[in-house]
Amino acid sequence: MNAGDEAVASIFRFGEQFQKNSLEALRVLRELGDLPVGASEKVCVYREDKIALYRYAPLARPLGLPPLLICYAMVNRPYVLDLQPDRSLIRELLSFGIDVYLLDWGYPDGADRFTGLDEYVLGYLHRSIEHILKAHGTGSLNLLGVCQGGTLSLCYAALEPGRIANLIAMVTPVDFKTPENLLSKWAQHIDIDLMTQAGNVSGELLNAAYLGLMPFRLTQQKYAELADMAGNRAGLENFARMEKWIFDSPDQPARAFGEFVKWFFQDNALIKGGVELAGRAVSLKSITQPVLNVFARRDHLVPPSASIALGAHIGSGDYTELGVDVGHIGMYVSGRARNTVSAAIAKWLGERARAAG
Amino acid sequence: MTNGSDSSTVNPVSAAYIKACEDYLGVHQVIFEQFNNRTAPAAAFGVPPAFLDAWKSLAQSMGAQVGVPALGPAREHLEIVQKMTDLGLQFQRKYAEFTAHLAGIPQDAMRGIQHPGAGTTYDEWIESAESAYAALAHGATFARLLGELCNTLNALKVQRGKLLEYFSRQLDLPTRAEVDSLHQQVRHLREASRQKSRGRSRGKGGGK
Repeated sequence: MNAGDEAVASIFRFGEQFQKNSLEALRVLRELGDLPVGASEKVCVYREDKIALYRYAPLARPLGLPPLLICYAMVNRPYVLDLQPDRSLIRELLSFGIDVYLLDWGYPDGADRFTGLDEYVLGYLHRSIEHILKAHGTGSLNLLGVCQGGTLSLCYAALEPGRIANLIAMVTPVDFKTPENLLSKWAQHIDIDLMTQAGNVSGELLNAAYLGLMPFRLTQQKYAELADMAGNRAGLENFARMEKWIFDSPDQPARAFGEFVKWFFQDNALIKGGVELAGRAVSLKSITQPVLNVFARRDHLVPPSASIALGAHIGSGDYTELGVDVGHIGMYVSGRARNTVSAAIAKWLGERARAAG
Repeated sequence: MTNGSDSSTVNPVSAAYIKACEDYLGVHQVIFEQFNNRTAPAAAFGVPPAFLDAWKSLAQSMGAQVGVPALGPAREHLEIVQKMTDLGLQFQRKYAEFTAHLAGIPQDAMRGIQHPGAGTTYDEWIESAESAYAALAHGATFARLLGELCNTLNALKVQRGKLLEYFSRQLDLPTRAEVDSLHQQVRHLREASRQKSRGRSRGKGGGK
């Protein structure tokens, strides 16, 4: 057999094996069906309209820290933080003895079309915080804002600094106009008034935008790689759960989303000034409590440059950065981030609690 | 042993495969460019001119209808339909422009393949395609075209809403405007109620 024949034969062998493995992986995925998500026990302690505030059952002896409220993004579902027992940031935090609450924004619909960011931040988030403070008989709590939820948490902490003992920003965009920020570049030409007039922004449209960041990897290679997972049932279960989460994107309330795009993506107003919630100007300089900024070094959604800008704009003298060598979603579910992030948060909070006496 | 950098020793099958892919993508590039160029002769596509001329006259007649002023009792309805038709045509044109802007990516991606082989070609192609795409996606033209596409779609959604509003009114069904108005009323009532509650709490606190 000459070199050319051997090359052709090799391509056919590869194709045959690829097809066989792919079919096997697809067969297992069909068998798996709809997998449960959300691994840890929790109870709903407060509900209002679409939002729900959950408290997680403790898994370890309490550290005695103020309760930790997680404020997740509105554009995705928060169960990615507690996807399955061995991939759960929340479970890890619980295992360190932290009392964890989670604010779930739910699935906004037409009734929320005119709800603005002021109501989300100074309404729903504020009332959730008030509920926790009242339940614990304390004046302040620890706030962990994730991604878009981090931006909202920064706004809240700037306007209500007395209620936040320590602030943790995780993969949080702060400077929305750094050169690597592709979403921001795309957002510049969007007519916000027209978008708001057209009604809520569908989750499908947001998904298309996310896929558009790396279309060849996210719409082709990811699925071609399923062939390599044939026979790896646990791996396919992980894949199926992630796939479910990735495309479980709530529609976005027209007014709030329009404000977010206009103020943050187009005007970069979080650092330049100009964000006003219920007539109150948001200034990052008002954030004077300790801040831990956790960012992903390989984040394609929120580039590290967008996150690490935080240190230069807040008024706090106690600012710590933690860069983790993962991507945006890897921050919640990857093995590399597992324990590193939760352990760092528990240690950082513990040190701040001791310093506060 | 072969040296990947020496073109004279590249596997002939791989080289032929890459050449075939480039030719195939080249044809698509030409089609996209021709499609975007409205003055191009129909024969360039290899399609009978009569066939394309029929489509052209249909598009022209649609365009002419869009420009006719809406008159008479159905004026409101007709005006919306005209705007929607106009926006639909605008979207098609912008989409063609956007697609033409991206048309070179697969071809550029092929150039990035360094080690043709059954197991590696695909991964290298993906890497290379992402790089070629990123170079365009970060550019001003891409952002402008994408923005225009989104804005046209949103304008179309607004007109669709108006059309549904018109039909709902005719059928005595609740309209979006009525539902929106009720939501606004509920919001204002709740805010007023909260303000009263806060006022009462402050009043009680002050009395202590």
